Amino acid sequence: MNYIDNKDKVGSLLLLLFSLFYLNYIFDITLDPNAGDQFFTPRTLPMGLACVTIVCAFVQLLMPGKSSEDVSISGAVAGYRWKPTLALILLMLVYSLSFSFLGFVVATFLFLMIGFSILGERRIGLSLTVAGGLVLSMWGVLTQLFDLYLDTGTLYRLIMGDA
Amino acid sequence: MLEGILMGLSTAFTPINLLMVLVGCFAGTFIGMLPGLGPVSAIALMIPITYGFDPASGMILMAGVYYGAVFGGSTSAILINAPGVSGAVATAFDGHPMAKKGQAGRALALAAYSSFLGGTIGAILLLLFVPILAKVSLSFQSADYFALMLFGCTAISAFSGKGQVLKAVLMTLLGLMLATVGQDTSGVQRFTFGVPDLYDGISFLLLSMATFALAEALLVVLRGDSSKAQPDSEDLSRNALGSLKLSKEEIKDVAPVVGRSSLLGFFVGVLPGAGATIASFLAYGMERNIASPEQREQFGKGSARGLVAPETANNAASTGSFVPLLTLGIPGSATTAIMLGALLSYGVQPGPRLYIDNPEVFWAVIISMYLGNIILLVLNLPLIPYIAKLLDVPRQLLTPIILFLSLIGVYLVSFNTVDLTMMVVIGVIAVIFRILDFPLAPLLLGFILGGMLEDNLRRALLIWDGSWAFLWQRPITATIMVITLVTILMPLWSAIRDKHKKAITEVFAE
Repeated sequence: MNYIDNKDKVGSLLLLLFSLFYLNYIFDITLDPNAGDQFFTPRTLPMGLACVTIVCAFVQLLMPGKSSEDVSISGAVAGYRWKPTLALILLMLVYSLSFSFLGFVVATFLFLMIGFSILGERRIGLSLTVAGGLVLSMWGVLTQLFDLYLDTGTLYRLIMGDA
Repeated sequence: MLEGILMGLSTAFTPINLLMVLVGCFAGTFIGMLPGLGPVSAIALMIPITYGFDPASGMILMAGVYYGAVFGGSTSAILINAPGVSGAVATAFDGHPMAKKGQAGRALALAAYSSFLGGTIGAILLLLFVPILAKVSLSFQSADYFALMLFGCTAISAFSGKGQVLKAVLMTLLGLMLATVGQDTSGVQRFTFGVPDLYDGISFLLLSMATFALAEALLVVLRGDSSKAQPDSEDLSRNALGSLKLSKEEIKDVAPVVGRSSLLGFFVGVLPGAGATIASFLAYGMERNIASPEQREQFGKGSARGLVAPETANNAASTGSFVPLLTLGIPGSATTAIMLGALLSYGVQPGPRLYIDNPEVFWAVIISMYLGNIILLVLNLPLIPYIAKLLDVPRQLLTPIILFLSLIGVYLVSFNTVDLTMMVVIGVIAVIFRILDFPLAPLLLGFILGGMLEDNLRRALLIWDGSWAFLWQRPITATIMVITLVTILMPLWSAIRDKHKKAITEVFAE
């Protein structure tokens, strides 16, 4: 059986590794010095969960699998569009990291514009209208209607001299 | 009960709550129509908006969104053969062939009427069953609740399909493990690695948005659906949908189907883990089996019965899934799991006490479900041709907007940008598990039930002086444990039996 190109096996291996990592950190949970004779400590449930998960992941790993076509990873991901997906993930990470600096309006506007472009939208006018309209309407609704605070960003404060 | 119904009516019929149902139904229909975004994502997107609301209004909005999303899912299933929700897959079997024959209007009307009737019968059954079950469950103790939580965790795994049981169990366990991150009830930090943002644990909203809304949107891009032209949708929404009227003969023909499918759907929906998808497939299968040979021939080619059965059943099941949530505080599906999380964030503890402590929430939710059905029928049906235009919005514009709404939804609750980064990371992990065919609904259910499961286990062990004997000495606990064991062993048993049968067949063939 091909263990590398098998959805079930790779998935259970990931879960097995996670539960081993989890098990390792259970011993870092500090216990009350008087907790020795307690029957339920903060470690009890995590320990039980880790053990059960390890057993289940092992069973799944060792169980005879389905036909290779059904569980083939390479078959399942054939034709997937990795480039735009990875670009969008990167864009979301940049958005989350630059949000405090750029502020809601600028960061969101740029996020939408670049997002549209990644997915192949080439009509700049339409992109500008949709991104601008959405950002401004969201900003209006959230700050004016729901009275929520949205960060204007360090950049704005630097420019306006409020920093 | 009458007093409660009147209380529910007075709460649900306030102008603000009527507006909530209306907005919820519309928003739900729009979101539900988008392939890839179902009721779970729709409700998850609504949570940040409802944080400032009072619990009754928040739940009413979410109930409206739920029904709207289920209805919206059926609309895209019929019009473009792209069910927005898994519960609408069976609807597409006969709904889309009807639309292709130029009877899209008739198909949508049949779907709307049967959804309404399924929801109505479901709401009546809910009205009858919930108070009784809530009273019975008042006698439940921590030990029983622990057993019930365990049952909730295993039931969703048992219904997860052939070959998926162990994977669903593993995902439930992962959810339970994630629930232990943060400070426990005794104040001890667990798995926080000194990161202050983890002291309160992983936010349920963050997890649900990342695993459903964000992951779904990323999968749409990954699979290449975002740039695909949608000729079917354009054809069907731009051209005339045909008449929305039904003939008397048609109504007479499908009336018994509605009755049967409503009952089946409701009781399947009550079972934790079963839900609308299983109900719709069971109803479709049942109708196909009891149909005459001539009628059976029509199934899959545009049969009215084949459309009505799953549509009625999925709506009745959606209503039924509120029974375990409202009476026992156990979500039966990913959607009700999100609702449970929302209720907890409002400071409302679902379960038997909800009926006593927050009767206005309890009854308003039940009444608003019915109201949601009426609004869907009265307002959405005539607006279908216009709502269907949404399917023409290019996906390359829609996907980044969905991603943005998911991210900002989480940010608006915590106002912490670290949550955004964490959400992206969890979203990517969710995509990996989706590619590997590991179900995410059990993860969410495990996460939601984790805290309650630990609390009840701790209390039960405290009461029983550290002994596990409560599992077999308390009759209610023992009964639930037996049901849990049967539920988890049943798929295993049938798998062994199938293998045995296959082996015998092979021996005889040789």
